[in-house]
Amino acid sequence: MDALLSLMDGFGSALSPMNMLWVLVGCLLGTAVGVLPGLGSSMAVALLLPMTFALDPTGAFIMFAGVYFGGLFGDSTMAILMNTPGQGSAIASTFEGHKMAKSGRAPQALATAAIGAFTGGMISSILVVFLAPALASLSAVFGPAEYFALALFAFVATSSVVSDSVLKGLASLVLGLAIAVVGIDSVTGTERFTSGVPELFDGISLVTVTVAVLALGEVFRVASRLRRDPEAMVMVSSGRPFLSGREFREAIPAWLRGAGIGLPFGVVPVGGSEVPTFMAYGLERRLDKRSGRNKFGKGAIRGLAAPEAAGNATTGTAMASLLALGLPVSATAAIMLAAFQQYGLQPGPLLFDRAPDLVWGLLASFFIAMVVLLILNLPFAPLWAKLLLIPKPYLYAGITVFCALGIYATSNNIFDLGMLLGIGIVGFMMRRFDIPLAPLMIGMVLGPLAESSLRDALLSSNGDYSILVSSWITAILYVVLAGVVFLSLYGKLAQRRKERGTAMTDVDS
Amino acid sequence: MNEELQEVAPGQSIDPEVYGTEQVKEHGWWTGRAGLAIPALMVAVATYMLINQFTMDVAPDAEGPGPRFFPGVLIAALFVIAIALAVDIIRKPQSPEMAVITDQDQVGTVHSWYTDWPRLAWAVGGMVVFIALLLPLGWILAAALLFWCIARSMGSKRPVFDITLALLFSSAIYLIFGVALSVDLPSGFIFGGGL
Repeated sequence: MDALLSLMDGFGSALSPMNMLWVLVGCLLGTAVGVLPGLGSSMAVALLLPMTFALDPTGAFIMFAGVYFGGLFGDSTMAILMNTPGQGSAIASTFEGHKMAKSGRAPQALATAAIGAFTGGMISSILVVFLAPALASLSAVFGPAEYFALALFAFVATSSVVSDSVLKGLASLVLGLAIAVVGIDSVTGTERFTSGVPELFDGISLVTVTVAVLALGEVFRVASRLRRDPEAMVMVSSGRPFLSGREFREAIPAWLRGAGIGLPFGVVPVGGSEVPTFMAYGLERRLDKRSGRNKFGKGAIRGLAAPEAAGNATTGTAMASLLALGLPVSATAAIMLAAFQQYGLQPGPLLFDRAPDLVWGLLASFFIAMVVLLILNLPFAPLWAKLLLIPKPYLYAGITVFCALGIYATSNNIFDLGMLLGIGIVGFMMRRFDIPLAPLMIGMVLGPLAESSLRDALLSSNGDYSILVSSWITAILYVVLAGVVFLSLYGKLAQRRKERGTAMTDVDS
Repeated sequence: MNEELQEVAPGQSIDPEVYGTEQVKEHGWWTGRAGLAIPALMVAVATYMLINQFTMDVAPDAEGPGPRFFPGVLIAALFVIAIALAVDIIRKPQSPEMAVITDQDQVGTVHSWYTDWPRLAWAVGGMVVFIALLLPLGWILAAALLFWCIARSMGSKRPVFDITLALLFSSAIYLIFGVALSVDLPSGFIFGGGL
């Protein structure tokens, strides 16, 4: 009941006219950035970070909530209309969603996605309200060994499960970890890898790395390929914009199942919502096959509804682990963590006591953002696609200038712009050679936590490594981790065998 | 080919016609092995870190695993993974996915590189020039120059119009962020009133 009362207070502060305006602005900007090709919700948060410096913390975070969920909506709009997911979490939506759009059912696909995202987001936000305080008190029993296990879990899961090649995933991960160790060591105050450059004493900023890898790298990639590889055209189709009763009834179970799959993944750090969206898609596909309907591959509404709900459910609960544990499980959450720190706030168990109005205001604005987005997206989603009528040269030129503005505004020095360019080139190379970007971001984000908790644990045990596996929580985490790795390796082997099998039959026929 | 919005009737397919795939010249042994750049980058990072490990100023009384401990693990991991990745690339060359040709005039063109180097040079060069000139020229001119270079790298064919647009864009940002939201943007010491 406490949680409900606090939430009511949160609504009280979030519903002031000024804050409502920030939610609306956030939703609009977030969707706009999410709609742009190649840019996803984490990019929306990073690019708009400097804008929030002019606001008070509550207003800023309320706007972030809008940007965050708006970016997701924009992502899936593009995944459906253009087959260009801005972020890994929207990939599963392209399979059936783009097929629906291709067969002239784009408005229905967009409506399915919007309602799915709304369902998933709402359910998870409600859960977060009750779960976050409980999680915060649970985290009191978490020691360094547990935090190290969580970080390790995130590293292994992102680099092995999410990426196609384990080696490439690991390469990306260690590069991210290497970026994270630059700067003054938090435990001993030793200068590390700075070569005496004062700008590096605080480490390489997460915002710089995010903008460089995700946005500038993409600009370079597009520049290097645009002449040869013009991207597909956009589809806008007219006609009945809403779902029919039958379609609605067909989608309902998929929305709920998707949300159910997505929820637990927000608290488990496996690098955002890619895994649950694929799992939700896979489940619907199997169910479809078993029921003998065989609608998949031709634009099945359930194949779109489930991953959309799963994706937003994950992002919702991801906020719980950010707020309550101070543990960012995705790149977007990591940038929000940076924003908290910019205001001198440290997410974690104490945040609920120290800044309750901010936390509950933020949670309340999740609900408001969902409603605003549903209203914005259900009727107007095809209008968003018109943003793509901006000629590519000006679109990317504008994005690049915005990147430069963002970095200069947050750091106020030229050195960081140089870092932006250097890391942007690395981001381009990674795209060119198919190295996944997510592990680098996770490594960069959780690297400091992993290092400090590992050292703390070893310090308290006098160098005895067995402390890392001594408690039941760590034991459970490692067992689950082993299971996840085993399942993913098994899945990959099975897939490879199947591919070989189909290749053989192709030759035969 | 320009992007366009297209109306689709139910049941209609809009897949563009495909005339073939992009052709790129072979580069002997290096074909499909350009990805070795990534292990090379990793080795460079690891070497830089290794040198710094020895020159690091560590307080002698530190207890437990010190500031060198975690980087040490990383350096080892960087070397091992770089070698494994390099071996993998050498054994199985990986060519990037070639684009499909949807424009009939492009059929038969053989490009010398997969990457469009001149265009990429415009984009990277624009950024370099922006960084070098931001303080001397001020935000408005430097950002306009950056905008212009990137637009050019993306194949804009109207350089004169672009100058106007670029100046308009950078000035608008200066007004919104520099003036209204008081973000500290340089005004430049050549044209602006000092620093």
